[in-house]
Amino acid sequence: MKLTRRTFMKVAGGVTAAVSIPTRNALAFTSLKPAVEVDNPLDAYPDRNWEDVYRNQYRYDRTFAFCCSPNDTHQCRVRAFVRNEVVVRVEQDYEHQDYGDIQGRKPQRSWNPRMCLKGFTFFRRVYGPHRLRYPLLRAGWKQWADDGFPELDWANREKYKFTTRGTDEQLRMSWDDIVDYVARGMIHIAKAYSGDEGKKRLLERDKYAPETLTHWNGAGTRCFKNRGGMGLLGVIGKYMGMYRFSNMLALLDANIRGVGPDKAMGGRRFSNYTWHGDQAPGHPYSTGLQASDVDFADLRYSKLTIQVGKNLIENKMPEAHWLTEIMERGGKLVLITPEYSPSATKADYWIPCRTGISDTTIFLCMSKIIIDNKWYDTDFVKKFTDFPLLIRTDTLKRLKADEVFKDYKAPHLDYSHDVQGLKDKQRQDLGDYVIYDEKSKDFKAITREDVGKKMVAKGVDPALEGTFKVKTVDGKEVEVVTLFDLYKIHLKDFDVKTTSEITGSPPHLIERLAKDCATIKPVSIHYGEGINHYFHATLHNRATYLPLMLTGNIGYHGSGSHTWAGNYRAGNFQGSSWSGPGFKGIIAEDPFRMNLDPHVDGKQIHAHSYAMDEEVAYWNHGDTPLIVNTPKFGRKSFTGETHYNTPTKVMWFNNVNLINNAKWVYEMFKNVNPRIDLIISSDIMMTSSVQYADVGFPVNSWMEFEHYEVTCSCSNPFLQVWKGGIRPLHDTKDDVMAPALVAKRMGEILGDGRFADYWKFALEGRPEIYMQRLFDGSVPTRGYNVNDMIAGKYGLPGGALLNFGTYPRTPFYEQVVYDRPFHTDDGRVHAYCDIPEAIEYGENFICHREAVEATPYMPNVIVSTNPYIRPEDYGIPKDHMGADERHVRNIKMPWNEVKKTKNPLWERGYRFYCVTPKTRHRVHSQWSTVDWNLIWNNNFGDPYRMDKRAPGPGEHQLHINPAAAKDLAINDGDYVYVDANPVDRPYRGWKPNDPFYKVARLMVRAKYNPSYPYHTTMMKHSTYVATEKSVKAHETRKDGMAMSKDGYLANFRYGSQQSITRSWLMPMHQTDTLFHKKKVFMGYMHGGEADNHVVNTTPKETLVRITKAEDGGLGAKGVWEPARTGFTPANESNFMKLYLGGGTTQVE
Amino acid sequence: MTELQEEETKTLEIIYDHQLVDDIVHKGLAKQEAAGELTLYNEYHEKRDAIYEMELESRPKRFRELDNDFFSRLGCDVYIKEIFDEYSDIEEKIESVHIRRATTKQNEGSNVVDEGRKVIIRLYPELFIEGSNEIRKVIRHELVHISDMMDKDFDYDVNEEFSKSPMEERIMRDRYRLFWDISVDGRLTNKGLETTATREERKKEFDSFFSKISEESRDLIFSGMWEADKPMTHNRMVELSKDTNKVLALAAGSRSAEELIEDTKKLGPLPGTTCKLCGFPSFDWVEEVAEDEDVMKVLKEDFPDWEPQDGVCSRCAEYYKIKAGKW
Repeated sequence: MKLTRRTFMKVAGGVTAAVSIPTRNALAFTSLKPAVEVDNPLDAYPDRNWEDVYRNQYRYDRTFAFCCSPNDTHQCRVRAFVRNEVVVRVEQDYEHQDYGDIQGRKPQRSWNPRMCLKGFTFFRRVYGPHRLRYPLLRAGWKQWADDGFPELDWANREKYKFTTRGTDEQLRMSWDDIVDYVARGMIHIAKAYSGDEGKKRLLERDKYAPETLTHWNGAGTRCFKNRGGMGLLGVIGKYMGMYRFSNMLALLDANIRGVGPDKAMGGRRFSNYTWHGDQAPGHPYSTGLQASDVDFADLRYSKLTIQVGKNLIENKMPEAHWLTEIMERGGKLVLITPEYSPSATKADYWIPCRTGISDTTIFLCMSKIIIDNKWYDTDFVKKFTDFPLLIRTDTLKRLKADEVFKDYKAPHLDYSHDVQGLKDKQRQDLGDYVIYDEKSKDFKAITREDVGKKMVAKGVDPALEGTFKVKTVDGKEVEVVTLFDLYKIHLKDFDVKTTSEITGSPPHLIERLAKDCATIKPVSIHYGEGINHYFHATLHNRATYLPLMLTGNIGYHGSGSHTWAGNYRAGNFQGSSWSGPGFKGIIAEDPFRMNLDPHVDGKQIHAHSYAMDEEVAYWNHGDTPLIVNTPKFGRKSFTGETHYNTPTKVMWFNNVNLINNAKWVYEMFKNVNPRIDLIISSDIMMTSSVQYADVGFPVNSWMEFEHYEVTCSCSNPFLQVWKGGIRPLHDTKDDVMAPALVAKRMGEILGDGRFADYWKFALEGRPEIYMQRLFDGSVPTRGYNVNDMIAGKYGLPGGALLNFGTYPRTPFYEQVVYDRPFHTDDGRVHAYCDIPEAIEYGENFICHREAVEATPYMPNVIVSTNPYIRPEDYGIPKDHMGADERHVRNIKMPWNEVKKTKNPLWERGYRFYCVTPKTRHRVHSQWSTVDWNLIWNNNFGDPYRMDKRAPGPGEHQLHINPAAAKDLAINDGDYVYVDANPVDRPYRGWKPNDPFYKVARLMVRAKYNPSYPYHTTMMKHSTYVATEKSVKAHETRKDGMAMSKDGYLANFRYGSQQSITRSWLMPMHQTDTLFHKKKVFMGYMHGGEADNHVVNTTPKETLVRITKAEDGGLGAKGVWEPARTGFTPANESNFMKLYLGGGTTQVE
Repeated sequence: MTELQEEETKTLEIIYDHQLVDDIVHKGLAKQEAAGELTLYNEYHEKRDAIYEMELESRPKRFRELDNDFFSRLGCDVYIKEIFDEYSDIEEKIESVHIRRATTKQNEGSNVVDEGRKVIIRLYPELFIEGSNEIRKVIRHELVHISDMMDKDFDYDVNEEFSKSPMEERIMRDRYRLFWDISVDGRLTNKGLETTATREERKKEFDSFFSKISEESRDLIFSGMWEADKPMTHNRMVELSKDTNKVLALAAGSRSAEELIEDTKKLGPLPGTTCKLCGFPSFDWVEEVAEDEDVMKVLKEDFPDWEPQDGVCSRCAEYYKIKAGKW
């Protein structure tokens, strides 16, 4: 008999019946007997109602889609399931193929699914105990207001607890009351810091540097700093609200000082991208564009991708598959990182390197190999790069056409003017440059539009090599050399052997990479915060361009050098002369000429920026620019005038945990914020930024939005509009309502209706009108109708594709395919920089510099023998260890000498780098207090908190190489102190008997992680810091939780990741002379612009010392239990070793 | 009320945690099975299987009854009662004894709660399997602790907080436990009773805790503690746990003042104890600070009462070196 499954069941049933006599001994067997004899259990199952118990767990009444919109560049549209008006779960939607652009084109299905574990647990944030539930006003601030805003001298700052905000009580307020307090407070503060009296207060009473009044112009409103956060995470509420408010402050200034629109000053707009250290600061130097960043879908076109300091597999979870698709398509993956990362496990080869950005030299070395072997793409190099340009060896500047050709007049350039927005005056100021033409054997002027085939059509064939004597119009004879030849001299310092010494990388892999780069096309290089968080990221970014410039790997799908911090989203709403003001139309509508017609075309909006950008990094630097007393030149400012900050007196940030995530956070709490008169945080969560603020405005979460919001990304093409699906749980409002209500109240107090009018459509609950104006005025969205979008006209309710020139979006496509100028002054990709600052600082060539702090060698030294690098050291001694002096000391040395130097900090035991990357389990500080995420994101997660020392159901950890830890007698799981330079960290002026020091010093769990090199430790960044209230909580609560009464939960018992960081103001980020494209408009400018060319912060620039603090075992006794199991790294049992060695499975 | 009834109300109630009983029974029967004695083992499992045929609601109670029956048949229920009989003073004062399961050997211990009416003893299940002698030693040792706790002169405080620092709290608790164990085991040994640790074993432990005290002084201090017929008070032991100088002072009288001063100089803070300057526990003490007058001077400005033997953690040492211009 053939034994099918059915016959077997029949037979088995019969047998069972035969033997199943009711005896106790047969009990076990009878339990296997089917309850009822049936042929097909699926046809005739007796009663399956019980299964409903399980099914009903997933029952829901309705669903709604919303955007999970944290600062992670993905903006995943996800679906919430609601039961009894409670969201019970969130799932991925599979709808991305349905998004359409204005002409009906659709993207691939491969975008599906998009959502990670953060979206999955978002509802636990919304319903959790750590929300900011109602408006809060600090008791001391209220008293100050109730006392009639008395003069804030130091005694009153202490009296009203401006100096000790963290210990003050925060009072629950109604919206009406708190809005009134804030409006009155702002009017008072704006008056107090206006005019001569204001100047006196700022300079004499509060001792700000005179340079900080450069952009003050007599207006107290200039001391107001607004920060929308972060770029486009919610354009209307999260972003427009803050910056529109900043522009509106011109109305307040006009009221206070009685000035007209010509003199009225708005506030200062705090930066986003650069403050987070996300900007690739070298990009404006190389291409003139803020940031080169592609759609993730472009990755699959790469045949070779080099991921540098980038852990894309871990940190870009919903879209990491585009990287792995390269493998499926036969491409090659290369990783350059100090640690063996998750992405390294996917790579064809991994090049380990010294932590910091020693790997800048890898790109220099690759370039040298490519040039030496003549592997470069001569055609591309001549057409699109500055290598053929002639450099004067006397001034180190590019030779200008008007220096050589008498009465030279730069011709008008149509494309530059009409499309790229180059103004006539800018055109004349820029002038043109000179090459040596191989055909005519003579010098030729070359314009910024003489690129690509257009240059060829002009009959010019520039020489790549050669040294020439040229007579200038003033009669001098000067030596000029092609940049290409100068680079041959420059790159001599970076042969394989030297590079290998500098980086610790295997020489054969450097050579292999150079060859791969030269022989495979297309090649892309990607990096992000891993690189950009270092002081010399500018040089690293520029260096990545070199091999790509030489091999023609820019502008084509699958090629390019890109940063993937990915937050320059404001650029998506690009304005232009033909579309309209773009982003400026909503954030900088002229409050003196506002348009209240709800149907007006956004192109017609009159935009005028009364507010001015400011980099947050200056607040972080003690609210002062980089001014150094140099031995040679005395007091010297290294901050360009276009960058100068103004003293901060009001700080209002929205949807950003700005103080918590500040580098050197305890310095901010202790020494910087006491001089600020009003700090406001609008947030959905109870953060430390709220705890140390004067006002907390509680706002709705993405699920609770009462009105429409819009977002988009720069790593995918999706434009998304949505609103919430559940009613607000607490006394919260949509973000935009906080500034709108404060403005309205301000107008009521001042008797000026323009304040309310400026927010008319927000106050009326019609933010879509601002949204429509934004779409109308921006290049990639003009033509879209918001209501049509909400109705699903473009394929999906609330969804559409941004209308970019290419799909996937690829930067510089039009440059190399349509022969358009890059956004630099000469229209070419730059290997050289001859602005005065670059020459003075020794960075005219792309060189390697040791870190300003995180190096075992002399800090900030330039590794070079190139005679055309002539830096200024300002007379600062080589051994000077002052932080500001280290910023600016430019000393050039060959590697053979550099390697003999010592960083005194390293010599004193600060021998660990501490890298602080993103975590997969949170988005910066968001989700830091969500129980599930806290349990997942570290090795110490425990919902029961068996060890009462844990600040919450999980806690932060420092990854450390096991050998290094063992050398320090640190067991896996022990608590350790992580200390940085004691001169200024955790804050300036700390001392052992200051109670605040107890709050500020970092104590954290150590976790063995063999993937990190000996001297490298790692701590994920942006957790919830220990505060005075959280420390008091865990020291006094019976359960030991670091959760204060207001719902704030710290991730540490003491200190935070930011205990070891400090402010660094990189001089090359602060020039007035760099020419580059504007961030959100088709036009050009010189010098500072937020999120583009300003200080990019550098939290990884630190060295730390690690010492044991407590035993890791339960109750501080012995070794942390899991480390005794034999299954943990560096404590493996014999069995585990056998298993790891593959010995448990024997193949005979 | 009759005399008989009065006596019945004073009967000591011994309540075993069911988890403990279940664990002991399983382990006890497993031991018998391993030794080839299957009678009790088979009977237990037959009866246990039968319980699965009963109504769901009644099963937990029946499992408990079954386990209690076999706990008794394995002879495990007599130890506690018998030893308590040796301590009639305790038996008279308390109403109930709760025997609970210790999760580890180190977790064993006892406590008196509910204003002295209830005694809680945590025991490791294997102890019951190891044999009557072992368990008697442990219970006897615990009962002396209990007896001390119930002694008004001892002035026991169950909520004593040694330090704000968990690390230091643990170190001081360990010291406190050692002093008390020495006292308990010393008194039992002196009475000729067997206990959990011998004099040599406790001395070894004492030496490891106080290695910075000279051997001569250590011997004197330990002997004093071991041979005392009365326990130190709770407060005295807390005091000694917190301050090694006070432990050393116990040798006074037997050693010269000069010798003790020399000994004192060698004392420093223990690894893991709290730095008196910053309040953080430290394993990294810096001794050379005391040798630098400039550093000492700036340190003393902030902490006039500080003495070299108080120690300076490495971070504080750096701070004062910087302040003195010596970093």
